[in-house]
Amino acid sequence: MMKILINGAEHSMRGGATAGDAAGMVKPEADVIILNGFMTDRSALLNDGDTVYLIKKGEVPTDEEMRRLMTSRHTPLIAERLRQCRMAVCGLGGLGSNIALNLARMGVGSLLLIDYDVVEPSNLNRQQYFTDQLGMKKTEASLANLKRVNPYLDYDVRDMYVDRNNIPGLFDGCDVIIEAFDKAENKAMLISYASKIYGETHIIGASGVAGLGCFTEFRVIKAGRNVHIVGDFTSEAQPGRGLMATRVAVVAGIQSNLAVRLVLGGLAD
Amino acid sequence: MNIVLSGETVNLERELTISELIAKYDMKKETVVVELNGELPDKDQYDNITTKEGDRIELIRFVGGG
Repeated sequence: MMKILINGAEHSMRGGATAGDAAGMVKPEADVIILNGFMTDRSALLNDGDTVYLIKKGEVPTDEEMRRLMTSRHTPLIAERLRQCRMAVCGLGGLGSNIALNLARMGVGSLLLIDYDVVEPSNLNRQQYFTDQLGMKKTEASLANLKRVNPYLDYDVRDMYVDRNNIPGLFDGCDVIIEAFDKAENKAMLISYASKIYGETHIIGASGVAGLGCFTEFRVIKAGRNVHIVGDFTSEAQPGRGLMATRVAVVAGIQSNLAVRLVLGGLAD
Repeated sequence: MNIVLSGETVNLERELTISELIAKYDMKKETVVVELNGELPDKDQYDNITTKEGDRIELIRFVGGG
């Protein structure tokens, strides 16, 4: 008998079995068959240890299939720890829309997504929205996009403007709070008040992301006991130095990777 | 009085409030988070807390864009 991994689950098959036999066992309606990373057809012979993915075009994987997929990509311990996490993304602009997608792709189980704004044409140069989403609330547009990545995560969207008065209670149960606001005052306000109220929660902010400076200008500094800030601390968005997709995405990547590293601890290395 | 500001020893002629220290370095209180001896004091206290000999202070500057 051969051991064949079909859509993430192990199956025993007799010698000489084909990809078509695997499809017959697990997903007869499949119209795309991927054998060890390459597209093939039903007549392909299988060998012991092969990995087969059977896809029906247009069909959304089940919750269980999605979990198996994440577990096989991320390893069981990391996938399980991230599935138990709740992370807040404050602001769904250039940083936040990218961070939210990164965290959804990582399989962070619960995401609190906050913004008060709507998608406008000037956002499309760097934010993860699409022309057919112009005029939509960023919370609603983000939710739609994230559900296309992973429909089985818990998404908690809040159309609101964060100020010092509504921070208490807002982040209860969060393992990480990510500051992804646009205005400097709002950034400093959130970091300052959230770090006081949520002293046991990791807080990750950003400062200095505009322009096209080299990535080596970025630093991550630790402040207090639970705060990290990413950026070059000087590149302010201003006329002549705008916010650009390529550089903003780097900082969003650093913030999201740090969020994942902090909750995983030793599992990350 | 000597304090350590961003890792460098700085001599101050007199004790300053955190708000005064921020202004001295041409920054705005609203866009700075101050780390004082490893802690982040309440923003509301920046007018009341004064520098002490040997304080280790970081002025973390936030700029717009995100």
